[in-house]
Amino acid sequence: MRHILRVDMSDLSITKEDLPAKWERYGGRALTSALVFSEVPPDADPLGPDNVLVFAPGLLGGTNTPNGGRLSVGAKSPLTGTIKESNAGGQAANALGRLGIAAIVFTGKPADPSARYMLTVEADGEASVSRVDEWAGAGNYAVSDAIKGMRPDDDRYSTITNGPAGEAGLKASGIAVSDVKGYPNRFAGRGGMGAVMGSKGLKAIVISDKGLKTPEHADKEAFSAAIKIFSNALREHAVSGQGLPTYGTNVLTNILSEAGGLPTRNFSEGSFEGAEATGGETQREIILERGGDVSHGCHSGCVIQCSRYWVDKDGHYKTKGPEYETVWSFGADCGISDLDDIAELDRTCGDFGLDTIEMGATMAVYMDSGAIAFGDGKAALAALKSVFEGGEPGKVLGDGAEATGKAFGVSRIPVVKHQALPAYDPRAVQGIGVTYATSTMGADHTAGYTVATEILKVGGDLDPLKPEGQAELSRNLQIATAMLDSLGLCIFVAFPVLDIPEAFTAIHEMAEAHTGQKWDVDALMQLGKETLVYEKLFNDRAGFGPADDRLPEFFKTDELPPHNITFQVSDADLDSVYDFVPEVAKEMGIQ
Amino acid sequence: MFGFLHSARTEAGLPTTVEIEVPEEGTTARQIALDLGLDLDMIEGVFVNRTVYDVEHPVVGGDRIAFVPPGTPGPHRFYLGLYRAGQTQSETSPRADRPGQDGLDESSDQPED
Repeated sequence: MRHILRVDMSDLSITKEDLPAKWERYGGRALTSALVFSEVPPDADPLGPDNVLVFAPGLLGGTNTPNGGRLSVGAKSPLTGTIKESNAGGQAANALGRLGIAAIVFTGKPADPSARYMLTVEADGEASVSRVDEWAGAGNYAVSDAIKGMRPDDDRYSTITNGPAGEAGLKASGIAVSDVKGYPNRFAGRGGMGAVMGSKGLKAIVISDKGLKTPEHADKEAFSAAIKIFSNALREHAVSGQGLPTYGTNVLTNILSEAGGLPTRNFSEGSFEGAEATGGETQREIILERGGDVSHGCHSGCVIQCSRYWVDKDGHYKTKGPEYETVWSFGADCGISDLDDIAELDRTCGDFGLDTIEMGATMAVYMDSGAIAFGDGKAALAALKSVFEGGEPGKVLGDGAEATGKAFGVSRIPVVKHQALPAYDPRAVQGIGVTYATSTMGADHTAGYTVATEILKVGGDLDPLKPEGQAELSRNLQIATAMLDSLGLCIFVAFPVLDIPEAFTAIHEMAEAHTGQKWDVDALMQLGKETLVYEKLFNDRAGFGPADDRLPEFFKTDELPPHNITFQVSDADLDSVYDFVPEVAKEMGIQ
Repeated sequence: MFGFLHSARTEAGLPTTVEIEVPEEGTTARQIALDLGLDLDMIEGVFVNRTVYDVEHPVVGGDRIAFVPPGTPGPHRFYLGLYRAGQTQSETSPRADRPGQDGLDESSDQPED
């Protein structure tokens, strides 16, 4: 029986309660969104006592499901003002799953704003809160080292930590989760979750799952059979089995630049002359030359192994091999072509606890103001450091692209619901524009990610440059992605399912064999729909309407080279994406 | 040449971006791949002037083409048409043996990678 651990930061009380029966089919994003919907007044101050901060493994967390260890972090976002689920890899989710914890919910707010706390959950389930004021202002790497010194040598534990950005309440702050080697370099990056964690005085969470086994399966044999099929599909497939482990997500840089969809110099162009120098192929060659590691998983149980470590010229660990989004945000979007400069910016964000997507996009907006030049990596690093070390421009950068654009009089501000757009220009890839505009999360590249033949109704005839069919596809992708986020699966498992039908079958077989509940395709899509219903209704009640489900005007007026095209999906189409909500809400008994 | 095609070229000491000449009447991306010694099984789709097609797509002087191997992550494989291109290829064009070097007229240049 899974349970919820509640920690009230106002009085530091800890209670344990059974997961309510109405939520027994929920995990991950479904659970965080259901909790936020139920417990947070939509007009609450995100940094006030009425917001919650929820950490939840997926429904399959801790079960040995391949790639099933993703963590969902939920709250009302201080950046977007919407409900938010921020998703991370790392070791914490599987640990929580093994402990039988469906979610840790932090409520309230300490009376003393200078207090810093750490929650420790031991393998026997004992949970305690301790004072760690001496860590105030410490970077994620320093806190991680301090925790290491406090744990027994033979312990197995994971950490969730907050950097100084979150402590300072910055809207671009994220939360760090430890990876397989214990580095705090996996991020619940988007939406300012670090600021929520900081508002609750929480500096760290340590979770020990030493000696713990997977939770019981309803049908162990069926589960073992299904994970074998799933694992094989992941290994066989060209994307998950070869492309990603070899090049990581950064293989997209050359491809998107060729397609004319790589936002360059603050979304002013779609191809970057530095694509070859910063792409995954070059990144891999450099890492190999310097003796670094080019393939590992972000959590144990990952079969895909798409991550790598970037090392400096002397072969020392610098940061996790910057992912596509970071290589874009601090690369093409800023006009920077040097991977070492990008890695330094990535490391600095990681230590401070800042979302690299938001910060790169922010830096590009700052460059567009003329304050520093596009392409100047050293100036970008100095500007980033000024957020904490003084100098220009200072803290304003840490509040994200929109705040920075307004402060410096930049008219081209690429945000939706106040969150910066990620690494695909919607004019060259119209479908992702629909997702950016309509997702409950604000501009989000992972919200509509999961392409499976079961949900592909458009028969593969979609033209990325045309509006036809994009809204329907985005709807189905968003539902399927919300489903994966709720199961705790890495969205990269979606790649094999496009070509290997057994892989999708394996997903529902694993869910059924573990839970003993029915999980056919309809039930899986229902899970995704219910998740989105909670989110949409929360946002509606928080005051968001159709006008917020739009891209910034300049995407409709400024033609993007090289295709010289604008965003063309109609407002009516955008408004149709969530048309399933009223009916499903009624079935769920919420309006 | 991207992804695995890129690595195969650099490992063989060959450039990943080349300019080649094509016959006046044009050719196909497939023929160019064969002429360059690229493994057709390692090509899912081809960008021709920034739009994705399958390898049978015609190519004329002045065109810019880019070969994309299987392995594109994200929904972008689908959005950009690489999935569709790959499906068409496996249905219509079984892999051919490499031809000889005769029959190619020299004509206008084109950049490609």
